[in-house]
Amino acid sequence: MLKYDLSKFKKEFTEYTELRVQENRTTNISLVNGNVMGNSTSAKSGVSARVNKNGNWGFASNPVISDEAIEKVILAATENATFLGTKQSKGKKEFDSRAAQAEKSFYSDKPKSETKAKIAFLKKIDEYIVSKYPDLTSRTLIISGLEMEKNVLTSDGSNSYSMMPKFHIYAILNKAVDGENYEIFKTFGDRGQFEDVFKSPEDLFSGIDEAYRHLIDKTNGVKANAGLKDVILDAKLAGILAHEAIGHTTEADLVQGGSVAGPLLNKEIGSPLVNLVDFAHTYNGKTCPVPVYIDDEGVEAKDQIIIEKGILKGYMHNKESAKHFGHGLTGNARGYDFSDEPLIRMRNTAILPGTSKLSDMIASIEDGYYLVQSGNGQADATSEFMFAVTLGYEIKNGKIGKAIKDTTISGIAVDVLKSVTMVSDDMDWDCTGMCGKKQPMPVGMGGPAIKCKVNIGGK
Amino acid sequence: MTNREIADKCIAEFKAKGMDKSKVMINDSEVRELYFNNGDISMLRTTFNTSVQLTAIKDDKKGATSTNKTDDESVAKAIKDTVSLAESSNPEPANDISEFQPAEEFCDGVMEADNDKMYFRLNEFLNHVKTAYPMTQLREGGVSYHKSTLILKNSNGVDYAATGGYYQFMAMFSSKEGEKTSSFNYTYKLLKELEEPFIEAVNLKLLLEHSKDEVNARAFDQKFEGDIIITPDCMGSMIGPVLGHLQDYAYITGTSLFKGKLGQKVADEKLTIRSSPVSDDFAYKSFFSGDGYKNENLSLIENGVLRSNMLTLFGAKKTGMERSKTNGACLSIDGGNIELDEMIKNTKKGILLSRFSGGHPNDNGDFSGIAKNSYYIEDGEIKYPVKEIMVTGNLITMINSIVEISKEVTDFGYTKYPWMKVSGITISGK
Repeated sequence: MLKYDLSKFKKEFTEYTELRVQENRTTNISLVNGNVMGNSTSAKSGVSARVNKNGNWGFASNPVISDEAIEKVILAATENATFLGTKQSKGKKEFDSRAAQAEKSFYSDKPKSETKAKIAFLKKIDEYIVSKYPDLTSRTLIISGLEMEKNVLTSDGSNSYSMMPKFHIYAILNKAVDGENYEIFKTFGDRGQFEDVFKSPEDLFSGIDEAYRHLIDKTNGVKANAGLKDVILDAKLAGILAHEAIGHTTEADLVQGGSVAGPLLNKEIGSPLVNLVDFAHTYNGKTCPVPVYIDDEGVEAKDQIIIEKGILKGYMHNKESAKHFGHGLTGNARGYDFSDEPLIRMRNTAILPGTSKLSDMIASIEDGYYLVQSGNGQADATSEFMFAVTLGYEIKNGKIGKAIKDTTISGIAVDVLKSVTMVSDDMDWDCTGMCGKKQPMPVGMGGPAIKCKVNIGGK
Repeated sequence: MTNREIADKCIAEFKAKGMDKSKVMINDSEVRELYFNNGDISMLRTTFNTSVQLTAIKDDKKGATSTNKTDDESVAKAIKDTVSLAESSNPEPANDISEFQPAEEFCDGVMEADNDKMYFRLNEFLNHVKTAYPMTQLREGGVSYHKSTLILKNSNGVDYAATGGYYQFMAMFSSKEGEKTSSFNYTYKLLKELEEPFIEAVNLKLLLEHSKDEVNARAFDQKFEGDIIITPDCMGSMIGPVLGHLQDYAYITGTSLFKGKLGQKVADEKLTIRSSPVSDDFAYKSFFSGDGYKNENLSLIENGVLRSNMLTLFGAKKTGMERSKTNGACLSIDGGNIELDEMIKNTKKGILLSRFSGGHPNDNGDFSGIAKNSYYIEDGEIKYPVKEIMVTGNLITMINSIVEISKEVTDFGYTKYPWMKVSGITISGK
């Protein structure tokens, strides 16, 4: 545990200052066709300080964590801000403050699972796959874990400690048919240390069975017919829609940079069925996948309503952007490594459930697609988004038809959200992927199934 | 204790703990970054870090850890963890380290950052864009200096060290006219020096000019099979997945589209792709691989013929194929024999593809994605910037359908790419 009492360094602060001591730990074990191909852990820790002097930011970091090193880092960050001040003066900035104290740790209280046990866990799943599905051409199983442990002290009075872990197992199954290769990717996992997330390999078998069925469906799949289509985005895809299509465009730094969301505040950008929130840490009484209680600027994190009944209601902020727009603080500033400055990042961005049933939604489409699983995605200042679809099916006359080959969907977020006519009453959360924006960052995303129109790639 | 002495101590410790083979890499790095945000220089960031990567093998079982601490206690813990990982792993005969080679030290590039020059050049660039491209919003970017000193030692006596430094310039931007916004675009370049204004770097002027026009990007409702001209800025995202099929995972899982094709024609004869990690033509050099072998400059694909895979020591031993003599750094595609203007004039109907925002191609090489910052070409003329246009194709078909490659080649400092025209791509609007 990297818990460090930073309060004694407050006397070293001469300007607005954020001080952070952090350790990121990763675990990666991969089994390819039953052989251990990767078996590694990493730990990266250090101290950083960010100082604002006369409107200029100075940042410095060092991997050594000691009283002396911490004092040096504070000084170096202050000197960096001073150096910029010799070149340009911006005037002193007074940020709003919502300082708080908090300690939140998701350490498991179960005995630690050693590497040998983790490999044995994967082996058990691998043996199940081999015995049940001998026709596969290859199989890959990966354990991927990340633990982020942070101590933050700010000159405006925040002092916090947190440890946020997430562990996932990825299963990749490949099958060749008539010289063509097919792949299905299945993820298992959640917030928490390995011991809390994974109880028994047998718990994953039904998911493996489902993945295999989907793979077989893909081997009989057809190319999607390119163009603007009616689709049902499964709940698993709604989260990435929330993240890529709207989330990024409403990060206040992107708004300042000219994103289309700028002139649309308090205007209609979606169907009245669309409600979208960036949750800080709790939804419906349950802890979100990536809970943030106090951000890396020392701001107590609050939920931020982005869209309410189709109306754009707000942006996600750091202290500087909140001041620029005259908005309240949201607590969205986070840095990935100890050596990274805090940027505006989403936390748990979700479209809220509606009242429709998925079966009714599918039945309502004459000719379209049911898109089930996504790959990578990307956003744009124009709100034109894309994400890969790695599993989907045709819908013909209200019924699920053939699987489709891997494709990409895209759209302009506002157009897509305005085309939403049904929202399912369930909800799926996920924290598998990492968001990329100068630095990587764990994020949660969630949503229900959605009926809308998107542009689909294909023949 | 120096990093070399720490490495020696680790190797001795691994031996004492019964490990058959071990490898230690220690990298001291420094980054100085002048960062701009929404057109103004907002931050000076200086970071120092150390990375210690330990690998140990016993009875063909491998463990690997990394830490960023070099104090005795942290290193001892990392050694203990590495041994524990190796002992708890499964035997894999492909696990190995490089054999003995004579010790060498390398040094290249900029050894010290010039903070004042960095500020001058960045400020000059920001002011220039504000004046010359008033519609353009410089979203974020900056100039940074990167220096690292890397040592690699292993229990077979391999002893390499390399010190290198370079500058990197990066700019991300979009344009705005009233409520209309253009798609963001970005570019970057690695530099040995800061003698030239950043505005002269790569294709920046062209990209900024295009960004202004792109606020009026148009959608169309056509679907046709046409040509795409892949720009140098977009080339990495189109060629990268092709090269992924030359790497370990694709061969080990049997999904490589180049399986059994070494020495055979796999692409149009106009295509030559090189990896030149130790060439003076680039601002960055990679002297040795993470496996512990000296890198060499070589052709991956030469006149359409597959000349080398990109297999590591592990991948080579696992597949029984030859280890690559490059780690894949400093990629380039040879220029062709036609000027870009002529290439556009020769295009009947297609897209100038400046950025590809798409899903990772599937195992068969099928890809689809949005054409960003791109232009519609018809009857030899660039007509207008497009939006909501999907391009769909196949990687292998693509490299076998090269129509022309431009004489002009853009130098990004770590890659060099020309414009490349490819036929038979499905282009679809809404």
